[in-house]
Order: sequence, then structure tokens, then C-alpha cells
Amino acid sequence: MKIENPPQDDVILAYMLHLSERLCESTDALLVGQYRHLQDRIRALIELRECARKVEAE
Amino acid sequence: MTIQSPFAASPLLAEVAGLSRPDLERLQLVKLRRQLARLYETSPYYRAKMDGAGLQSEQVTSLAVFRERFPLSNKADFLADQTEHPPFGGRLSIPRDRVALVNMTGGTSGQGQEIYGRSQRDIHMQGYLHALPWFLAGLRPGDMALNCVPAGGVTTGGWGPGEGLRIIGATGFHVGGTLSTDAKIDLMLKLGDVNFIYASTNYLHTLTEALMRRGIDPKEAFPGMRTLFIAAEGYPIDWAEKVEALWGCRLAEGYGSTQCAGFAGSTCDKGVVNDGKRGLIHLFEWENLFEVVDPVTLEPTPSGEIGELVVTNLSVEGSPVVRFRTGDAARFVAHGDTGSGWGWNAIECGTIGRFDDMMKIRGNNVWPSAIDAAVFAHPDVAEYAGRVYTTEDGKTEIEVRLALSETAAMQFSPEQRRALFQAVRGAIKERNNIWVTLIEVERSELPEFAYKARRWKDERQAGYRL
Repeated sequence: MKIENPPQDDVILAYMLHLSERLCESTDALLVGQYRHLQDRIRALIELRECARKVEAE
Repeated sequence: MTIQSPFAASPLLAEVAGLSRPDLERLQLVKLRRQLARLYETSPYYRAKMDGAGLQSEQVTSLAVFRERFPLSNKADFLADQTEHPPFGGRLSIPRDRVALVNMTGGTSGQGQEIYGRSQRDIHMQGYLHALPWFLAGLRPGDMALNCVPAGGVTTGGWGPGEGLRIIGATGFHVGGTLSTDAKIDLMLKLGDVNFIYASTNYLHTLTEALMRRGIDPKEAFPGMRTLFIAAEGYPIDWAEKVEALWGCRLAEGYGSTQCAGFAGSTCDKGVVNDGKRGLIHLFEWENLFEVVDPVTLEPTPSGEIGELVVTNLSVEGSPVVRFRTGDAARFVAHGDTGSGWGWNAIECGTIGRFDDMMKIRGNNVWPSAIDAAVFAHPDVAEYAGRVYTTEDGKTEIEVRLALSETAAMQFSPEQRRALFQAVRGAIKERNNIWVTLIEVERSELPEFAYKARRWKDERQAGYRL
């Protein structure tokens, strides 16, 4: 299987995940849940791309 | 369990609360001008409105100019627009392929359903505009929350609560419309540590009644309960105080609608009753611009008086409303009279009604919410249904079928029944200036309402509705 998306996407998502971790350190109780929501969406995107890569490796 | 005040727990909220009225209005104007400029480019409906009024966004130099010159819209305008440009109408101001969710109004007016396209951004904000009032009322990340409003479907009320609980990081149980009241209670007993319930006013009444019927003391069974949050219907102060005492927690209220794209305001941490007086719903005016007007003259309503809410979305992307006449009737309280120290205007808790629900009976303006208040001030009444009709000789009659609470129905003597009926009849007369005929019926003969209650039928022909 060929991965269509450019590899920069992985780099961008990894960077976004790193930034979101910093956001999740917020002590603002109204915002922290929303930051975690954003972080988990990024994690899901990373995971689904990794899944395609694992298939390709096998 | 004591929690931090919402303002201590959220620096963001503290910052918003700290905006002075002039600063808030400056922010509104900036957002409004940006919204109008965008709508002129993207929405044929609003472009026609602005062209018709000879108004460009750069000419809106103040909120006063906007109020004076931008034309009003109402439901009939939106429905006509949808007929002409199906399905979304010319109000849609994003490309169709960016519509990620469709919301429709409930259709209870009988005129038709408005349709709204929501962008991904709008969906997040819809969640935020549920999370925000609930946060103000005491909901915190990690809390266990029960949503008793039917979830899903096409209504804003069906989607917003799920998004709200998700983004604030609470654990949501969406049990409205899917579990019976007894099954909900069984679930709550299993969960034990429930912290938050969202329900229509009427459904909270039903749930509380069912708990009492089963001999369950809510305060003891759910000691972690922090907030009961209601919306959509009026209620008497006595009822609110009784519910707070039974559950041992605050009762909070929000005002929202599909046109507002979520909740547009809510009580603060003081709840719906303060020192025996009705509390206030503080409006989130940095998201929506509100006007409160006399429905006939369209002049601004003075603080303390009842008027019609007119709403403008300041940042909604998909299908924004601009100067939309909601038909909602509310008592306006100007920011300087709220006692909160904030720059936000407010409306009174528990008395929001609909101008189109108002019935003209024997020359009196009669509001179903006012009759609700008169009837449910008597805790021995479980439910009622009203009917206005014309007799064969042309007289207007009002019939109220009334069911007693289970305990009262079993234990009341004929004398106690007579006294109760007399008191209810007197209370209706006192608040509405009409005498009604009361008939006792079994509780099972009257419906249970999962969301908004519709208790009245006006069977008179149009010419008799005077």
C-alpha cells in the first residue's frame, strides 16, 4: 500500500501534539477539557496514519 | 462538595466578566461589522436586506445605527427564503460542502421548521455555548452528568448537550427519550455519584415526583449532586425552592434556542432564586447581540418590563440570524440593575414565555406560563391540561383538567379536595383575571412531557379569540 499523504503531515501532527500537551497543562477549568478534546483528535489522526504505515510495513 | 467559583476556576471567564459595558459594546460592534461585511459577500438573503435598506457594513458606525437601519426578520421571512432557495435558503453563508450538521427548529408553532447549516466551527461553539452555562452553574471536568433532554435528531437541543459535555470533559449519560423515568432512576442509583442533571423544567418535575413516589430522598440518594439545570419553561418560585430543598443543591436555568445556536445566557452561581426573589439569566452578549423591544411599537423595552427578544449572532458562520424576532417574551433587566457588577444585560428567571402562546380570553392577555405558575404553586397538583372553547351560544369557556399527586389522590378527603380546587381556581383568577372550570382526572389521563410541555388547546375559531 502506498501512503498518499506527504510525510510533512506526520511532522505537523507530531508538533501539534507537542503543543497541545502544553495547552493541556492549563489550569483554566473551562478550557482544559476543550484542550484535551483537541489533543485527543490530534492523537486519533496520528494513530490512524500510523495504522496505514504499519500495514505498508507488513 | 465545595468547588471554586466559576470565575476563580477560569481566568478566561474572569476576563470576560471584567469587561465594562462600553468595552463589551465596542467588542460587539467590531464583531458585528465583521459579520455584516462577510454576510454581504456570502449570503444572498442578507445582501438583499442590506441593499434594500441602503446600508453597507462600513456605515454601521455604532450599535444604534444598526438598530435603527438594519431590517428585522421573522420566522415567516426565513420560511419564505427556504421555499425560494431550498433547502437552506439564501441565509446560508458558507459553501454547502462545509455544512457539517443540520439543525432545524422543533416545528411546534405549526408554521414550519427553520433549517440551519452548521460548520465544524459552529458545532464546537454550540458545544461551548452549552458547556459555558453549565460551568457557570457548577459543572466541572470529570463530573458525572445526566442529560434528560432527548439527544440526537435535527434539533439544536438534541446535539448541543452532547457536544457541551464532551468538550468540557464531563462523563455524559444521554438518557433523554431513551430510558423511562424509572429506568433513569435505576441508572442514577447504580451510578450513585451523579453531579449534574440537565432537563426541561417540566421533566425535572416529573423526575422529582417519581423519586418521591418510590420513597427515595434525592438529597440522601445523590449527595454529590451539585447542579440541576433547567430550560425551556416557566415555573413558580415556590416550586424552585422546594426542588432545591429536596435535592439539596442549586437549581440553575439557561435561555437558548436554535436561533441563538446554543444557550445565550444563564444564571450565575447564585441560581434561580435569591432571598425569595427570582434570579437572573445573564446574557452572553459577546456572542449574541440582544435587543428587547415592545412587540407592537418595536421601541426598546425599559428595564424591568416584558418585551420581545430580538437576536443577532455575532460570530455564527453557517446560517447566522441578524435582527431576528424570536417571539420570546422576557422581563428585561439592564446591566446596571442586575447587581452583579458585570456589563451583561439580563432577563428574569422562570418567566420566559412566547408571544404566540398568549391567548386572548374574555379581553385578558393570558399566558400559559402564568397559569403554570398559579397551578404548580400547589405541590399537591401533579399535572394539568387546559382547553379554551366556544359554547353553542357563543360563550367562551375555559376547562382545566387537573391530576393530584399520588399521595394527595390517595389520602385527600372530599373536603381537602374542595379546598385545594378552590385555592387553585383562586390563584388562576388572581394571576390571570379569569375564572376556570376545574375537573379532577387520573394522572394517567394526562401526558408526561419529556421536553417542552404543551398543556393548552385553544379550540375557538379565530373570530372568537378575543
